[in-house]
Amino acid sequence: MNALKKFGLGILWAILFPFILVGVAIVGIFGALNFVIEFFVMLINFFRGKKLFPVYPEDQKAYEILQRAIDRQNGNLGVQQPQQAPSQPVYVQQNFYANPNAVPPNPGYQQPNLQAPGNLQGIPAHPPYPQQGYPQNPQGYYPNSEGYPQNPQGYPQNPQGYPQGSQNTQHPMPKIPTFEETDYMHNRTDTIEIDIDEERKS
Amino acid sequence: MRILASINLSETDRKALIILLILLVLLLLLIGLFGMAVHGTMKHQAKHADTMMHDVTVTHVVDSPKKFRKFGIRKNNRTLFRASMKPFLVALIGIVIWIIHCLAIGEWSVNPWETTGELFFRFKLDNSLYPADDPLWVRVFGIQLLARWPELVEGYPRFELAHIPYYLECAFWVLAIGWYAYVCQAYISRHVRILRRSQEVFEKSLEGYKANQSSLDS
Repeated sequence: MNALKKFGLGILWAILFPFILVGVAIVGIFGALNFVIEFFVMLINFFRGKKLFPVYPEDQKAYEILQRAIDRQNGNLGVQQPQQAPSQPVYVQQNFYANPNAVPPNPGYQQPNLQAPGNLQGIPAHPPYPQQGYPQNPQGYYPNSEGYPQNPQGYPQNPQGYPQGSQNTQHPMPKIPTFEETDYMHNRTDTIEIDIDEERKS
Repeated sequence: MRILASINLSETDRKALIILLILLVLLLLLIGLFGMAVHGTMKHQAKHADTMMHDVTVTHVVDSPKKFRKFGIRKNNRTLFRASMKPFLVALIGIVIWIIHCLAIGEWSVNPWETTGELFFRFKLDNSLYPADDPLWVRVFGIQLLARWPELVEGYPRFELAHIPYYLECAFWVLAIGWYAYVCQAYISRHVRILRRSQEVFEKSLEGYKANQSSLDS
């Protein structure tokens, strides 16, 4: 019975075959024309900097609707998501400018007891420097651009005898390093770009 | 029945007729199987149309048969373009081989199809090659029919090393034509499915509905 059915279908297909062939030929010609048109559209998209096959607006709309539905299902709708700060580069620069008249923004700040790390690394800490008797840092901080109080514990400072720290002392202008001095590596700049988002992730 | 009974057939003719009938049945059976295979392939190819149109339909971005057809045809055209890139590329490779080969030998008039034909059997199809009392072609009711099995041309099939570029070109073109026919068939399948779905998806049925039994009564 099945063979007879196939036999009957064979007759049907044998009759239909020329028509199918004509249909395929017509579609083939249409496909060639369609190829030329779509190829030019693709080229235009390419030179405009778009995607070669941009997403149709209908598909985009459907995607957004589906995404919203998924969010609603997950219970995220209506809950204000914490606004993530937009990714912005932070430029870290070295400041070499010392302002002798600068006032620290937080004078009460106590610097943690930063011991010389030499002992930690198995290297003996340097011996205490003898007090030379010259006036040192009467305010308890170095006027620097960061405004942090320096040396609250009275660490011996400035063993080389560099005059500083006193209002009565003449402050020579610190030397501003040239680009060549700071550019230790040829392909390196002193400006480092940090992506905040990347940092948060890490 | 009387007419059939009155036809006198020799034993040889009867055997030939039976063989002919068996051959015809086998041929139609094969065509039927081929048709079923094509139909199955088309059904498989048409599934892609559903995939293409699913999201826009369930989200009601496309909300009428007309919009469905319009958008479906646009997407189908792009799919045809993307699918036909590969066969076109294969055909292009064949053309490049042909151009390079013709430039190399300095001969542009050779027909690659005819040259590749030497790989197959060739038949004597010209009536003048047969005796007048036993021709190859006969005219029956104005239609030219084969009267006998044609004879083979001697020396074929044969293979020539120098003709390899022609064989390659034709192999690429045949592959491209077959592939493109398959792509076109897929396009037709998707097109038919889109047209059918454009009606089915937005269909509303009143089957079993009674206007006097509204949901407010219950």
